[in-house]
Amino acid sequence: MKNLLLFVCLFQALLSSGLAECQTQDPNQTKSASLMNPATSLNILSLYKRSRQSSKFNESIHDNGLSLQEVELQFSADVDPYFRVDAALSVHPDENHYAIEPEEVYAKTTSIPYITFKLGRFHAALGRHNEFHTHAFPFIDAPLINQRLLGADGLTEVALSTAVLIPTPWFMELTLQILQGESSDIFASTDSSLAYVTRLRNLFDLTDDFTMDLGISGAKGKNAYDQTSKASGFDLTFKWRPNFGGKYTALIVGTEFLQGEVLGRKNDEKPRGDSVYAQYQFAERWWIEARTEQTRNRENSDETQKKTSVLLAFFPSEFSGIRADVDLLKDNNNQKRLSYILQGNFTIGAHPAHSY
Amino acid sequence: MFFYHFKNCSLIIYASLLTLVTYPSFGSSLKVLTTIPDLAAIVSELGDSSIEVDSFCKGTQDPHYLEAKPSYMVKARSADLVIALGLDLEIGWLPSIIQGSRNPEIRLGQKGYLEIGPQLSPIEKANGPVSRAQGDVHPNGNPHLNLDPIRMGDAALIIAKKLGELDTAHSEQYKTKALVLQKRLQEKTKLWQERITKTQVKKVISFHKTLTYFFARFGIENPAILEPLPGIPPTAAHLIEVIDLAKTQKIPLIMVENFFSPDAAKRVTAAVPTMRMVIVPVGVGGEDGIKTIDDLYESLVNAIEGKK
Repeated sequence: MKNLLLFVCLFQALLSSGLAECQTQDPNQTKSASLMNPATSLNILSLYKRSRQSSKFNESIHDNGLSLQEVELQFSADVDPYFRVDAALSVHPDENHYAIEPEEVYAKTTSIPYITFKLGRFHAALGRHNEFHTHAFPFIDAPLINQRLLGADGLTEVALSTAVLIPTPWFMELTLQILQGESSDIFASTDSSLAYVTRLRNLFDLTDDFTMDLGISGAKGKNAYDQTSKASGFDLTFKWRPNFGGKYTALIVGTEFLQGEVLGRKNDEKPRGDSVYAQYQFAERWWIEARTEQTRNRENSDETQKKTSVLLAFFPSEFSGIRADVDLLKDNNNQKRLSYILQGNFTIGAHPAHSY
Repeated sequence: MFFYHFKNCSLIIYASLLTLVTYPSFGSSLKVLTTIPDLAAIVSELGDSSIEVDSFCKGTQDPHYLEAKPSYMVKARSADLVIALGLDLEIGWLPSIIQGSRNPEIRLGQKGYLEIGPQLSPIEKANGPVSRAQGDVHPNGNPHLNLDPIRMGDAALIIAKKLGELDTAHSEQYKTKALVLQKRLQEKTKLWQERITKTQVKKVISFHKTLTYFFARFGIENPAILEPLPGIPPTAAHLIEVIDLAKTQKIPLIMVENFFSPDAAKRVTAAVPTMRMVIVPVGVGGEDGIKTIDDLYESLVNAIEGKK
């Protein structure tokens, strides 16, 4: 109780500390959303997929043909001088119908120096990829290990987050999150125990046009088997975009490693995996990308998968994109699935910029 | 063990940072960040040693499409003032930087945020409904006011007033220097006008509508741009129309902003041998030797004169 009172007092002080003088809005200043309406956007992701596989491949194909991968409706606006709300609603296929659910819906503080508190439902800060929205994925789908350990939608929960911008000369951000612990893939304890996630991210400007982004993450909580689940990972990304001619060329090279332990789960108790990828912009609107990844169960090498993806992307503008992808997925018996995928990505409205 | 002490760690961090942010800093100069280097050059001239100034965008980069690097958030974290052109030029990246900086002083509407574009009588405001089918349009006006020396002189006064509000001890200095800068640009504009008039260059094609204010100031028509629509790369069909126009109207010059590829312009000049093409900086620092706003305009006048 004492801790709670102390927290409330401290929070109120922090909330007000950054709000010394709220100026009257200059009537000449422009705004992209009017005072009464949030910035609104809609994104459509559509797919055409054709797969074929070896007769002994251990899964069946069920998603050939045309599909609506996801529709995302997003709203964002300042609530008042203290808070901002961002809301992304996702419409996606769910068996024989479409489901709509809050992909990320949260309020966050805006007036506290150095710190952002966030409350709502959002992608947990476990690794780099888990925080991406589907239409911002570097490739058509999430890495194999993310899907295997965290489920098709990633680790997304109702949570409270604190992200602190550490006062160092480089970008260092420490994120601490308390999750409801309801994710059925890794948590979902029988007594509704909370789960915890932490991430430390460092970004260095190696030169004016070359950055290194290094992150380490961890998660822990009770699971449905009344035991502990843990996850940990690191990610390393290099980005180069020259200061001169940067409209026409860029290179991103990265790797991400994730491992988990879901004690008590009979199958796939200790999954581990990694991916290495490169994305190269070779013309103003063209990118070519490749990713190689693998995932396995540390206890059972029969559950190994390896995948190679090659992708060509064309972006007519910053609001539309067409991507053609070829995937080769192999299981531990060297059975193969070859997939050809075409994705259309279209955005209307005032969509917030994606993270770097 | 770490998760067991999670709550205590959080409280320790909050208390430490509250102490850190409320601890007074003594003797620190005003920290100003601008979105483009031209504004930084003006602030630098007004402030001398009393201001630390930096620009997010460099003179070689397209300010429409800067990536919001987290390192920019680190710079913005301790900024006292952010100055933007506005008119949606920086809409794709500046809000992310400001939010990520966790610096409430520089948020929109706060005393540490200044948008000068709307205060400088922007032109090419949209009449009627607009949509992205028209390309990358700026409905509240063309944002590239930094290329009009008269407007930049006026901008210096607006910036000086804001600096004076934040740093009252030097407010007179800022105002005096702004008036000097404004007067200097006004006088130089007359000289630049004389030089441009002598060239008899009356029409120029550009890649994008970056140079609109410069052309308008010096009475130069801009009958075509190489982009079929703003923000859309040149197409073969559109270049054919541009070539026909250049031949019909005997347009002598194409100016290509330095962050665009000159390839499309070269195709036009190959088809119209009487035209010349010049790649021009459109921001301070866009080329070696362009260190001030005066240098930038001088470079553009040199380009029209054929000295580049």
